[in-house]
Amino acid sequence: MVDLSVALSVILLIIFLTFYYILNRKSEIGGAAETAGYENPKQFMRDTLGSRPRLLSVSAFLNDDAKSIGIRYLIASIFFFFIAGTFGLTMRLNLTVPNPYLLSPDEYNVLLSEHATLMIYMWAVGSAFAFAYYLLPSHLKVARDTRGTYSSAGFWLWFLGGVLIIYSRTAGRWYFYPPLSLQLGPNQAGLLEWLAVIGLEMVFLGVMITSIVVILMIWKDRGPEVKWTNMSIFSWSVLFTALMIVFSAPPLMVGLGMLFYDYFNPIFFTGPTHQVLLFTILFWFWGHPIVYVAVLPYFGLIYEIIPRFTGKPIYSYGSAVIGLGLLLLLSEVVWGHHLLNSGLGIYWDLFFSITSFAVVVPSAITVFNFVASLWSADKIRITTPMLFVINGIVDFIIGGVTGVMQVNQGVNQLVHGTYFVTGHFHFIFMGITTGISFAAFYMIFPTISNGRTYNVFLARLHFYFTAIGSLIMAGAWTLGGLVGMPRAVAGYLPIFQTYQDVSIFGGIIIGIGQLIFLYNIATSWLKHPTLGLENALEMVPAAEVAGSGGR
Amino acid sequence: MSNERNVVVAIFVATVVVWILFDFEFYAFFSTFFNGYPGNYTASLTPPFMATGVAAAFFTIALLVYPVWTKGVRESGVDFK
Amino acid sequence: MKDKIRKELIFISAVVAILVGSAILNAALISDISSSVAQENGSIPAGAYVIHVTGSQWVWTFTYPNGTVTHDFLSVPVNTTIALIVNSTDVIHDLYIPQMDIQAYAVPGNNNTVVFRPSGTGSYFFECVEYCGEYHYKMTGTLQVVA
Repeated sequence: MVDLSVALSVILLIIFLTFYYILNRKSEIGGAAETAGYENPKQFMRDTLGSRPRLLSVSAFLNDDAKSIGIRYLIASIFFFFIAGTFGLTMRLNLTVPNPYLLSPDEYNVLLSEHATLMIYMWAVGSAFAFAYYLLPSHLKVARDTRGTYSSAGFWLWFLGGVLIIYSRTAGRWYFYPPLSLQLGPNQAGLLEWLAVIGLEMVFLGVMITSIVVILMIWKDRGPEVKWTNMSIFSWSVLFTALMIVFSAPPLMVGLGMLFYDYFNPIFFTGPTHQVLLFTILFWFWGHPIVYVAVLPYFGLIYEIIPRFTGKPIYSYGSAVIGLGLLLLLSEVVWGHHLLNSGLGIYWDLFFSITSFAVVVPSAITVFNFVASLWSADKIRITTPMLFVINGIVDFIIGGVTGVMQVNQGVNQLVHGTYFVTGHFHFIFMGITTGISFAAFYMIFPTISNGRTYNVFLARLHFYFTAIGSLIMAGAWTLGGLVGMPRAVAGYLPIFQTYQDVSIFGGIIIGIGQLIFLYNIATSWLKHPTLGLENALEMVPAAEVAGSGGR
Repeated sequence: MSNERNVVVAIFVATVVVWILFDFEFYAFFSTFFNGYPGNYTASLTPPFMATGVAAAFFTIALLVYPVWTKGVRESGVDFK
Repeated sequence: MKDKIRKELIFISAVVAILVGSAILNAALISDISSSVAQENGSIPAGAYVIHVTGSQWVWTFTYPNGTVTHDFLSVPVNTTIALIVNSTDVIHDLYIPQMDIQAYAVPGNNNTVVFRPSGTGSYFFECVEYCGEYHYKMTGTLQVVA
């Protein structure tokens, strides 16, 4: 733990030094801009860079045009993905025997909380913004990119928030329920719990700024030839995601503010006049939409990827957009199903179970559209990104169905708080969020690596390890949860040994897969570039993919 | 067209079989697992619901895999576009 | 084009039909087991054997009608309606008895009521399934159903 904090302090220092380097560089660019007749040096840089491709390199941190911001988010989100993934694997290894042996329960709880918080806020949201910032300027034919400063500020708030969350060693799980998250003291891991609240608030501010910039980019900055009716489906999905964040983040931002105040003067969520469930309601008002934030942009990417490997347009552009829009609306009204057993009563349960059944409809529209697009194709080229997409849809179907099962009150009382839930969302997060991110990453890799290509065999291996590993891991959890295996525990009853062992096996397979990915990227980078800079996701014109809904 | 229809019908028939199997499966599992009220209500009412879920997943996945299986071609050329 | 919309409508109506059926089934189930759904200050059936449950870090305390107190161990008679009044002294816990299919949050300041009726003797386990701090995983215990 001490080593970890020292390492993180060094990382923090490096970040700040980079920031000073940027300030230094700014004055150099200022001179060049003045010569070119620009008053604003940043606008000069953005106009000079245009919407040309950008490399996966540190220089992205020095420029604040949209594509560089996208690369920044990509680097940072993959960085956090590997940190949080290591945490997750360490947790798995600690569960090989019923009693904790590798880590103390405290350390396990810290890893548990950090794994969840980082994966959601830094990986799922971060990689969604990465592809949004990277692809949108091309999809929307943005002529002038004027909000780089805001984007940059949003990025740094988000990034430093993530670093603070790691540094805080929070043990409050990703939902920070008070009074637990207000317990301070060296024996509980929450000594710096308040820092996690600050970090999360920073993440929120960054994400809000970024969402507003993205909305404005789609709304105001579109090129004249891109209309609402022929905008790419990915742009629609990003628009809906950003709107969802702007609609639902404020309640939890306020809630976190109140929670932070409680550290000094406990009046809101603890103390004589408190109402404990209030925070849980504020939390889930945001906590449910955020899990749709982790799938919506990736649905958009699936819609973009499928036509490029089938050569046929998406089955129905209209129903795709309507499906994503309905997901935005309906996902805002289902949050109460996370509190079905909290004592809020049967009418609460009845209302939120009905809305939760309703939210299946747009998901079904979306899945039908994917399936029908594959049926209408003449041939389907099975490439690595396409494998990720097919596996993602399969995982989404399994994860979606196990999700709907929990809506039933009788089943909910059996599986709420068990590994069934963990299995349900890991199917979706591994298949959709992680898998589609990798698919899109492989597709834009030749561009961001300056014309290099990855080793196809290793990429396939990475796919099979990730897909099979997550199927084994999440499948074992789902079955274990059905017989009452509780989640978020550092140890477990010996009767659950089999389920835990199988899921550890799956987790190790996933871990090996990610190492293959790193090895593949590293060795590919050392090769000589042989390709052009264009990639299908970013630059192939709409006509060549038979109108996937315009670009 | 008629071939496609036959495939969908075949998948649907298989789905019904899956539904029946899982209905019995969940009924057997729940009725041995639960040993009291309200578990026995859940055991008698929810197996069809759970089996519908499994069958719906089976149906959709089969629909998804069929075109990939029949029309999928593995190309040795460019992988990323 | 019309054919496309027709296919889509067939699929969506099938989905909607299944969902409406599921929602009706769920409503019927909720009305059947309404007293077993955790509810703050819920009604307790007449003649029920009332047990007060207190969750605290990291032990479950059961107080029986005759004043006996047990920790992490609950002994109840078979074929008797048992009402649990679940409370907490510190943080949010969640009492979960999988083989009875009941679960209720233990919220400080709230009295959540949940009713169950064991129909077979034997030994079952119960757990806390709401993360409650360092030794959350040790908040398990045994439910003994006696004749």
